[in-house]
Amino acid sequence: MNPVFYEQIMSLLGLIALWAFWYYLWKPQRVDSFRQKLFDLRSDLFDLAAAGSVSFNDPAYSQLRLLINGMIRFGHRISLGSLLIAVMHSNDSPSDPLAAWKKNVDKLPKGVRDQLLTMHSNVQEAFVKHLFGGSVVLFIYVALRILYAVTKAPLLLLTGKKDIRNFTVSYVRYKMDWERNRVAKSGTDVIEARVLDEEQRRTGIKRNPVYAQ
Amino acid sequence: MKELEYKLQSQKWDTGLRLGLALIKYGTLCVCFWRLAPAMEAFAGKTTLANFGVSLIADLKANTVFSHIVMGILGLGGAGYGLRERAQKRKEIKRLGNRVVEVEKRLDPNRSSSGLTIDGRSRPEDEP
Repeated sequence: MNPVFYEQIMSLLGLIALWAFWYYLWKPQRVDSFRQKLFDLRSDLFDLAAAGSVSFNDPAYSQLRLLINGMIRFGHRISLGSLLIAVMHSNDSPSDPLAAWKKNVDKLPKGVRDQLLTMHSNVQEAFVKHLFGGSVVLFIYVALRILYAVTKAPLLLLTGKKDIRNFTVSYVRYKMDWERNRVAKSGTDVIEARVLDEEQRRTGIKRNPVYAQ
Repeated sequence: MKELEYKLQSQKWDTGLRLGLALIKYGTLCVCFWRLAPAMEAFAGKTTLANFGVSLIADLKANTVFSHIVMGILGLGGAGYGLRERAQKRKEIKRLGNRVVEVEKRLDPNRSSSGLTIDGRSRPEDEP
């Protein structure tokens, strides 16, 4: 047996194994993990309403719950492609249920309002992490941006434009989150609006007049 | 843009995206098999399995073959372990999920659901 053929076969079998790992193990695991995070957030939201901080019938509550439900439902379809399409169509949407939700949140007392907004930003954070964990292209893009920032940092330190605090692990983490959010922000809002719209239709929860745009 | 027109446009893009992703997924697999076929053909029928094993050890270093076998067992073992754990988790979701729904419905009769199946999978109609 020619060792070259053996090596070739083993390499190709390895690639097929990698393919199966990516599509049938890694991606479903990411989706499960994302959904678990959202179930936890939904549970926290329910506890908030059960404690009486906000009514179960308040649109600020029910619409955020619908949004989380929609994200759970469509979690397996989130990809770089869907983000790009969302960004392309960001100006075409005839209604914006997310903006309407924010208006309703503004009517709540400060404490509850902050809690709901924090939950919403946690949903967005989970979404962005899920998006980046499932896209090799986005992952490499952000890794390169961070590598560039890290390479540039000593130069900035020498020239006195940055201080030593910029070299901590927490700063690098902050930088990673910042980069991820910067890339995904505009698409995230559009995807959320579409998911909320779809869930409103599916559940038959009519838009309250305050939502109509 | 009118709402219906917008939805139609979105659906067109979604369909295109699904098609593109399916092409990437199955296209890469086809390329792998396409490259694998000539290598398999190269020794198909020229050797028996017994000869194959002997010649492998003769032509290649035994260490290389052994390391491939160990890596294969580790990889398959790890994947199997993960799949078993996931199956176990689905059972737990099925067992506990209904209780959560019951308790929550007592407080909020209009409670909305994520629409996943009872064991936490996507519904078939939502699959890409």
